[in-house]
Amino acid sequence: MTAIGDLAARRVVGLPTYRPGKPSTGSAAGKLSSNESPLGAGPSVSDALRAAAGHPHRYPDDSATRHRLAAELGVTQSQLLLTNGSDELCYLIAQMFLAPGKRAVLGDPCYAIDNTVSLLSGADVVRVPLVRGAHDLRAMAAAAIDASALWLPSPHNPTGVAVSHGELVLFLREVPADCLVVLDQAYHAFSSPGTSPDVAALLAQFPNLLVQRTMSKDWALAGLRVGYAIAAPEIIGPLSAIRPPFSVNSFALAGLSAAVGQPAWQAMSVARVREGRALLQAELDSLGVEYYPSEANFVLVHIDHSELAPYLLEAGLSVRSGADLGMPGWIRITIGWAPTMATLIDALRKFSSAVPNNG
Amino acid sequence: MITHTDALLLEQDLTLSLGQRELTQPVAGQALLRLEWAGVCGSDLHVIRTGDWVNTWPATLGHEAVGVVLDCPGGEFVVGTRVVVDSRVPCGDCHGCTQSANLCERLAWVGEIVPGGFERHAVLDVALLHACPEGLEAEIAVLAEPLAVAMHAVNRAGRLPESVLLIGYGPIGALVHSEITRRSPHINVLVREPNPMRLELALALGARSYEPSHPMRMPLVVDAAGYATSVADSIDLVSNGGTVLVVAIPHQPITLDGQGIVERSLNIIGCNGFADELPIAMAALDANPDRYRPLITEAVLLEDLVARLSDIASRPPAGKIVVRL
Repeated sequence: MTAIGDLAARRVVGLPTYRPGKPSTGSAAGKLSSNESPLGAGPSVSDALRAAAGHPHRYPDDSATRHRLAAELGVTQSQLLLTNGSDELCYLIAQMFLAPGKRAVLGDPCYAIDNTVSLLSGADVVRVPLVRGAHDLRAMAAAAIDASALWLPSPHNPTGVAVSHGELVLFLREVPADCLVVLDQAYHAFSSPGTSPDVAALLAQFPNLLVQRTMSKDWALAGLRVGYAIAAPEIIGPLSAIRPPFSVNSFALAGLSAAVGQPAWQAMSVARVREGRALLQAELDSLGVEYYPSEANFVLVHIDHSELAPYLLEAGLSVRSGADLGMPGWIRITIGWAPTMATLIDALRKFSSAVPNNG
Repeated sequence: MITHTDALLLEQDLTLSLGQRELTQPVAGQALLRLEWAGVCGSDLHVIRTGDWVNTWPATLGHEAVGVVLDCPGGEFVVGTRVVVDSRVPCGDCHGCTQSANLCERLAWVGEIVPGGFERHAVLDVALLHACPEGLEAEIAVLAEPLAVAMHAVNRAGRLPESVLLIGYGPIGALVHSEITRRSPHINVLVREPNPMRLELALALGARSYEPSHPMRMPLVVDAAGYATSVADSIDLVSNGGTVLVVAIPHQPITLDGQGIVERSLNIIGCNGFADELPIAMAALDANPDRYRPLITEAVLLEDLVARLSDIASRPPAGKIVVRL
């Protein structure tokens, strides 16, 4: 290998490779492996994308979209940063706050990209094991002493367990004010009504808090890659300075504006996911299969992927192996469209009667 | 040889159970199907409550069905072909039948005169089967029959006006809405629906909620509700010279204001089933399946259907319930 190749290779030693969820063997609706929206984006998004297709020669201008989203969120534009998917935000945060000699705190297991960007930064990475699928907030706060960044996905991926507002307040009081707390709310919209933390109150009280969100899940724009950060202007400003210009493209901006302009679609879509989640969890209770009660659009279930795989194959379904997510022996099932979930439940019943002691 | 099939059985005393039904062996002109999905229609719920229209007991309801041909002695369908069931069973020798099956004077329906879709296997006349476009998902194809009904209703309305009021947003109301906006995306559709989940679905699909505090008459009112006064309410809400399209079956005889109908020059249009819309509905589903996906809000396994039907009055679904067979 050339010297330059050696240099590049050294930077990625030990970095896990991100593996996307596998497609289903049947129709696209059978893919329950990537936490995608089963109903897709609302019809207005397609119309907006067609309109945006007429101007591919222009650089994107995010000012109108940022203005609209800030108004929807009840924050100022100086508190908001749009990014190319929330994953870009992970990279920006690591670039800004982490470096060799600094410390990052993560759960174990954690969201893969949080881990990747922390390792890539050269920071010391401290992993705090989850307890029954939940963050061990006391241990994380202790680990945050002298840390520069702490990654806190809630609801957690892959367990789906969420931190309550009260728990967050107590936790944030314990974390040093010079440690950035990244509250990743990719799945917060799927939480049971009334249980999502009051982010505005938290941001007002804790200036070291950054709220990370994506438009990929409840807004169903995964293919467009758009996410955002809400934080104090003192955090958003520097992150904005290092974000590549035009990183959110014209299609993503058009899609975001259209989606936010049709909140009824998101509300309906989220309602269907909550119904599907309740149905799946009731079925798992009935079958006596262990799972973590979820506040997200997926459920982590204690079934070994390899044992269930033949039943999934026959049903034309795919789910995510927990081995990919730091939970070997488990599977993560995305809540899909109602007929897909009925097909899944049929497969789970067949599996359960054939392998009665599983779970 | 398949001699029996699991089936939902409705007894004459209106008890429901999951049991076994004997299958006749298909002869030339018939096909044996492995049914995949069936839809629950409002008229199924009517029959479960009343026993109306059933010819032979126990009945197996379900006239919205899709399945795969397992055997076809006459060779009309290749084994493995996915087919949608045509729900209409016309007599074939009356004046109505010379125009369209749905105008038959003795029209009967799959599920009432022959066992219907709430079973895993069925033997049906090939005349009742339509081959699905290749690649059309069975879970979407199951909407073909009710979509054909909605298409027929919209056809019966004639030229669509700028604004439409839809009373009731159950599955057939939602499909009528979808069909209206498929033809004319910019038509202003208002919905009057008391169930919040159904109204949420209507708003998500682009309708607006009808505000009773600002009553206004509309040129086309669609009664997709079928409650005791829904036709009378529709007449109240339609503009002079306008049209009331009655899609839902009233569950009891109704009284109409004949003088008002005459003096206000109203058109009252009924619509029974569909005419030649079934293949058109299948083509529409095939062309844009995602358009119809949100309309199916619940899916149950056949073995869970008795339990779900028993609490459907107290827990109505947001949209269409389909049954995996």
